[in-house]
Amino acid sequence: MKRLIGVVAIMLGLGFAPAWAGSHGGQPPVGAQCLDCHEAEVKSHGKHAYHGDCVSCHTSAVDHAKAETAKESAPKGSRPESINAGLPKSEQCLSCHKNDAKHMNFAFSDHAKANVQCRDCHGSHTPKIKSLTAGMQKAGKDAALCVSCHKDVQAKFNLRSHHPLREGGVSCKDCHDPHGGKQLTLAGKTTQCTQCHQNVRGPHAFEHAPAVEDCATCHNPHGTPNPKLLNLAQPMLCLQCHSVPGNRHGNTGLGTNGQTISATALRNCSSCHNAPHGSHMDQHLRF
Amino acid sequence: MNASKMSKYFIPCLTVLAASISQAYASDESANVVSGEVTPKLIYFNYNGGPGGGSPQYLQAFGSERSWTGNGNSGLYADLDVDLKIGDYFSLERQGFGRDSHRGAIKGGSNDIGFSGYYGHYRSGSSGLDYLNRPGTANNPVAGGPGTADNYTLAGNAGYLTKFNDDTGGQTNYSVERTRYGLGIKFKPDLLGKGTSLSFNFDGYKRDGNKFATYVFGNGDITPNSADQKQARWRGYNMPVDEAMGRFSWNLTANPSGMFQFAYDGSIEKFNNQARTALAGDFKSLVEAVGGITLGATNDMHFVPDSTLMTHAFRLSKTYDKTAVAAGYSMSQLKQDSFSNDQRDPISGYSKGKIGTDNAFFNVNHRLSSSVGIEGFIKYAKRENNSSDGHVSGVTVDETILQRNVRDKWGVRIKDLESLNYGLAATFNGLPAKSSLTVGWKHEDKDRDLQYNTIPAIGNLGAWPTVVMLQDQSKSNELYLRWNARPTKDMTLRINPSWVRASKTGYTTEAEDSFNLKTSLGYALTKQTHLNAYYHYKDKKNGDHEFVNTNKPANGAVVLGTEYKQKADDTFNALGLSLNHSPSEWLNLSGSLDWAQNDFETYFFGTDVRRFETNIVFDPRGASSYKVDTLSLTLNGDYQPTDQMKLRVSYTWSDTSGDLRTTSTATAGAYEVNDKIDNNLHSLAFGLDYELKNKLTLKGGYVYDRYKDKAFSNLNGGHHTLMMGVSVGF
Repeated sequence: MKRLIGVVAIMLGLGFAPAWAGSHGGQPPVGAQCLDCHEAEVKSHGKHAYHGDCVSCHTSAVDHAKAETAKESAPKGSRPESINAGLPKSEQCLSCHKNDAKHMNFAFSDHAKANVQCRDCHGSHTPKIKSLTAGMQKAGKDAALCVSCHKDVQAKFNLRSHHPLREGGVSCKDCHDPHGGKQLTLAGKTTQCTQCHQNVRGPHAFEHAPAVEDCATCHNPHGTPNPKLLNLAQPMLCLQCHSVPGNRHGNTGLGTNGQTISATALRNCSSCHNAPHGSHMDQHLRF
Repeated sequence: MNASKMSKYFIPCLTVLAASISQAYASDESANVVSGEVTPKLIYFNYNGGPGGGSPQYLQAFGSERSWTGNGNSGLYADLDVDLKIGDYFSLERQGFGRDSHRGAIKGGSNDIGFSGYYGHYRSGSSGLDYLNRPGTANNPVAGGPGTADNYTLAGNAGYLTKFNDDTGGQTNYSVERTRYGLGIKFKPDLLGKGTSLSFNFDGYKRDGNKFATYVFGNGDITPNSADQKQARWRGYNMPVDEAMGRFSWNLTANPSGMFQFAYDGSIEKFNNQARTALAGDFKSLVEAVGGITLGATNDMHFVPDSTLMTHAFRLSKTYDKTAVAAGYSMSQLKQDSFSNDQRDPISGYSKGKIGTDNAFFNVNHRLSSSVGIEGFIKYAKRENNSSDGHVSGVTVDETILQRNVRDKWGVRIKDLESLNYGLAATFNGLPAKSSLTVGWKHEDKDRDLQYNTIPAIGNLGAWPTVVMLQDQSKSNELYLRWNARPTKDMTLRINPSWVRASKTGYTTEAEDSFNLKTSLGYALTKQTHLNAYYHYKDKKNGDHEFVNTNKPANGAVVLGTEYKQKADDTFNALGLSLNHSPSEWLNLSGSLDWAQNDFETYFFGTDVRRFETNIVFDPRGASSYKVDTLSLTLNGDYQPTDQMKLRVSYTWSDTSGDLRTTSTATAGAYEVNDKIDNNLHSLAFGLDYELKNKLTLKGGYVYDRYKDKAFSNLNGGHHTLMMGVSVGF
């Protein structure tokens, strides 16, 4: 693997660099007149500034420029009206970017349904998140961008049990497609989780039905007050569906009937049933 | 390949790549601008608290550091941050937070071809919070003495949980390292023709380490069946973890003659478990110290199979003047590649592990006018379990039942699972308060092909529909509203209520009746001050499942055929407020306060025999409740007092408290508190950047985490991290 990575990286570098060199001739921006005032935007690393066609995104840029020019030559005391250059709507971005497989169904995405525009996440000239707070250094800029809107989700990452987002172990994009949505997914409800957690996906000879259907039956991936991202503490989580056979799980030893459950003794059903996602040899999912 | 080795080879390769690109662009001045910074840094860390004084199990579960010499309690580590850009066509980034937490990414390309790569390494404690704190273990002694659970020491009872037996040999250090990596190349439309692109990606990871695993032997596993033997049943051991995954995927996107957009995604993924699986025989001598063991010596404990997953997905989309259409179909096949010793035994009849899925969707939206749009969708999913059904040699049984030897058999199994969702929505724009309103309806229909074991001939060990609350159908309707408004230039408001009503539910965890409300408010108090707030409420109820008695016990207290409903009521509240204040470009302050409450109630039942035996009597024994509140406060400040200095500070506090309660009778209101949740976490972080001279910056950081658990004091502990570095820009 080490050698493979090295060889591929060198081949990419040596093989494709000349091809790229020929494809960029340092073309001047079409909206060159905009640069007189907006030099900073173009000097940034944003690729779109180098597309050069300011007007294709800022649809009122021509009127804006005219108004600004008029203001310069306006007599003193007059107040010519300013016109906003206009910010691009998603439709404008998608007129070019729909060819990308990631964006082709954006119209039906959860973000689009919530009126989120491309520009709300993507900075055309500079990144939306320029610096990170001290507490988000490990989380990274992608996660910081997401939680700038999803405050409720950010709060869940402060709960006792959470995916290690703040700690840098995962990022929002590892699980979520910001251009997708529930109506667009072509994967089962467990597929998203088992793309990383293959060790619990089976196939199992003895399956646990809720684990087969939806990981979220028992887990909340963002965070919960309970260990292992469980929606409820054990044993309540398990007791919803499982009755308690008196002669195995009771705590009084006073016969086979009438025993009450002791949460102290049964704090964790998984202490014994340690294969809750499925087992290869035990119908009771113990090992 | 561990992360340190990987980075050792990865970074030089990337440097060669960067150099080659730089050379290629030598003739193009605008493309040959090299910029970036390199930050060598030294990191010191120290853990305190937890078992042994330097092992706070909770904090290590979220990042377990080691020093250069491998010390996991405290020490030093040298690291390097790299941020390199060549023009607008190449970028390389690496961020290191210590020996066991670092990541890197590379990206580049032109209008014709793009490439990308990444890696990440993260190590976390994996002992689980339970291991050292399980009731009855030495670290959490109870009335019966270390290693015993008090309620199981009463006369006449020696249950499975009487005593925990530690087979780890004193091992307390559990951790798993996860290293992920990937490479991708994309041939863009400019190269292949308008609208056509082709990409290939490889993604993979490696997991290495160990974790704590438990198991429990049953009555038939240990003989003779005396109290002494029973005390040997519950055991735990040090389980190795050594897994690797590699996924090769590809995508073809095309726009044939401009007619529609088409995408095909395919992948093949191989998962390998390279760790040796523990066998029952490994523990045989330990168990036999108190009694005989009948479990086969070659029985695998927590067997994880190798597997291969293949997927194909096709998507189409077309946008007309006022209408957009999207459709997709995918299929996958998951195949088990290795089998446990038990499964390989011909008597088990288990030789095939295979699961197939099919998914499809169709979406359409249409703009009726500038202010009204309508949308419809339909989504279909199917999961088919084509694994071996199994059989018992020489015994005529239902062939659909998998059986291991004669004792263990499948209780209930979902052979097929089909779901169909569809819905309609209408969106009205241009309403008062600059708002839009979406009114929608969704229907969900799930059908499960359930199989039960009903084999009275060899002992009533199957599960029957009457004793399992899983039902074969779920049917629900959801009505929802989405109101997004901008009543003033400075305010945004979202109110999204939804109602779910199910005529059938498969699980108690599904909603039979549910009301869900999500609201959020954004308000710019001034140009410098922004306020955000949210409130979420969800109430979910289910009373759709019941147990039915199939016997009348001798005392006659319970009537044959009596139904007992399992009622579950789950309420969730969350409220948050955040404020961002930027009085100048040199100072940015923000803070947020969040509260969440989970409130859950359900019944539990007792039975007179095991749940899967015949002539069973259910009796509601009481109610159980779970109510937990969480409060968290986050404060951030970024301040630049001079042109040379930047300061950052963050503080997060979260507090969780609540309890689990049960009653001893169905109707009694006096709950007994069985378990408490009471913990808090403080996290304080400082950062300093000081520009010594142009392109030479001194960087420093300090983080202190402190976890306190009042219910499990062994988890208490702290973690200091101090970082010093020098950033050299170019």
